[in-house]
Amino acid sequence: MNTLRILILSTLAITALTACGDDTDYSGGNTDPETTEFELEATYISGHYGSYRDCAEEAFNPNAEGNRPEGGEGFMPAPDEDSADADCAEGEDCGGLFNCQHAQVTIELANPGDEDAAAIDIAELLILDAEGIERASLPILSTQRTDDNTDFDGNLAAGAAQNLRIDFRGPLNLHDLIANEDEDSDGDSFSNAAAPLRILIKVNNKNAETLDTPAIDALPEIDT
Amino acid sequence: MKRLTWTYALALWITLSACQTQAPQEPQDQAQWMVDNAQRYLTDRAWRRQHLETSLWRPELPYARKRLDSYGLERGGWDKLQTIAPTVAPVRADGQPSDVHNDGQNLLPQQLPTTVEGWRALGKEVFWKMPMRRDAYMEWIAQRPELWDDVGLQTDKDGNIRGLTRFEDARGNQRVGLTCGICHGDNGVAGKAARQLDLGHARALFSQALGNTPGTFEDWGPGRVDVTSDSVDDPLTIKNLWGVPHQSHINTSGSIQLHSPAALAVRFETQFIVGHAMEARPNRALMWALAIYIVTLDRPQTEPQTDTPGADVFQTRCAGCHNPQRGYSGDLVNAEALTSSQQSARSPLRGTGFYKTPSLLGISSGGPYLHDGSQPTLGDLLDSGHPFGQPLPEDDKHTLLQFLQTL
Repeated sequence: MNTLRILILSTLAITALTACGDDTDYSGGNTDPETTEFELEATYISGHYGSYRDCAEEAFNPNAEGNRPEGGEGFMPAPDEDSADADCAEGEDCGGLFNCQHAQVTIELANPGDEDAAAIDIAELLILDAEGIERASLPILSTQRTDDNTDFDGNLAAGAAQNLRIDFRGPLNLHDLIANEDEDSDGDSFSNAAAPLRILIKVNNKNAETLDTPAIDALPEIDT
Repeated sequence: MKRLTWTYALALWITLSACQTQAPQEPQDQAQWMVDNAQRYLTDRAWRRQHLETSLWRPELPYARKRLDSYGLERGGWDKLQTIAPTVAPVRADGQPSDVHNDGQNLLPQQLPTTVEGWRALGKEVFWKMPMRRDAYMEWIAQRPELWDDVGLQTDKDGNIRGLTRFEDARGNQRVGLTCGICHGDNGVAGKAARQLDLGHARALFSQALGNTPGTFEDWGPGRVDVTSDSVDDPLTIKNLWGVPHQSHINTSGSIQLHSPAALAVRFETQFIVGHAMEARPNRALMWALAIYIVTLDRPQTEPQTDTPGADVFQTRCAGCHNPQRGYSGDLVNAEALTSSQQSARSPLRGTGFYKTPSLLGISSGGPYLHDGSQPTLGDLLDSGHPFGQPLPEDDKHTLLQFLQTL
């Protein structure tokens, strides 16, 4: 009798402890309220952190207040012979050309699910250092479809994929932005600087996909 | 016994598979091999990737890493970039505007060639008209005829600026691009280095017009270009292209191994992508055609005088590196063994510690000489003690110079 009582009590105790130990829902759904139910897939295609040699004011400046993104093409416009508003030496008509190009990253975004996705937003671009730590959020300028160069409207049909080109402000000095304090700083480390970019994609303001690119670098002036 | 048979069969299959990717050595044979493998290049991603990996024998270099991270991947990467429309228009020297849509020529034929001659003809069009890169400074120069002589631009027989072309970029903008011909087509001769071209001066003028300091651009000088954006100032001479199919490596520090002419096409493809800021890729058939054209370039109009005392001196003192059987080119040489500047061999982006041995075909067309153009004439080159610091006796130098002037 005592043995049976002990067995029953033990079983009840074990059941109680098990029931209290974990309240995770194993039903297969994601219970994180900040993550959407859409399963978007993003794949990295190409990218660079831009070139701001002749237009430092256009680059991302972590110390500047109001560093707000503005719309516009990632690359300075093609030559316009009538243009006289170039930012160049006084009296000189530079024809609207600059030795500048904003940063860009191109991705393929796919919706492998059964439902059309709307309100897709390239929410944030975060530059990572060598340890994978997010060092800065880089202002996004525009997100365009690469097939027709129109602005991405945030819609992606079920089963569809779309290449997107995201223009953003790159850092004036990539090395300085990602370097740690105890790192050596020399010409080689400046010219070899490269860093991954973390791309956060949301649907209806909920996390849908995070893509970490390989290390990418500034756009070289020349690299044949 | 049965297991041994299967093992031998497997080994044989592996060997034969490897042999299928090995190209012949003679340029004309290389060209036929390329015609035979054109479809494979166009459709077989893994095959292209294999050639990329083999050619980038120093994968740790940033130059290699960028390409290995992005080209020929199973998923994503540069293969997914949109292709730039192969429609181009000339940049007229009289200042009359040209428009790609109204005046354009589609470089891509409706049907791809099936013969070496057909592919060569297509490659020739690509060489002179395909925008391999676009640069803001050159677009600015193209609008200013008063600067063209200063920077060494030439006009061709049709009244167009040689080496510049108008095209539509990935964003739908009409732009001016640089073709192979601007650097490697002096006076309309495909493969001949444009030693009068001063891209450094052009860049300096543009920087100054923007109110900026020209930096070290003016140090390049005519016929020289610093092709890397790194901490090392190492402008290199623009090269003749005639001996490329014989060379074991390309790029001054030999960072690309030419184990196969397919490696050349891959190199052109990635060169184009980087030259267009990683926003678009070229039509692959055009890059394959360009590679065939380079492999089969007409040799310079020279006649090496191999039955002379100078040729004997060459055979004794020079042929160990500059092999006459290989277009007077050779393998990599340890840079530290040479008297020439070590900078490029130590480039943080591409430096391998070696220099390629370039072909000497066409050297009689004029200097400067060595990878950095530090020797204005062949006489200066020999006086410097090239390659290892041991100048020749005067008699040998004299006869050798006579021979070199026939190459």
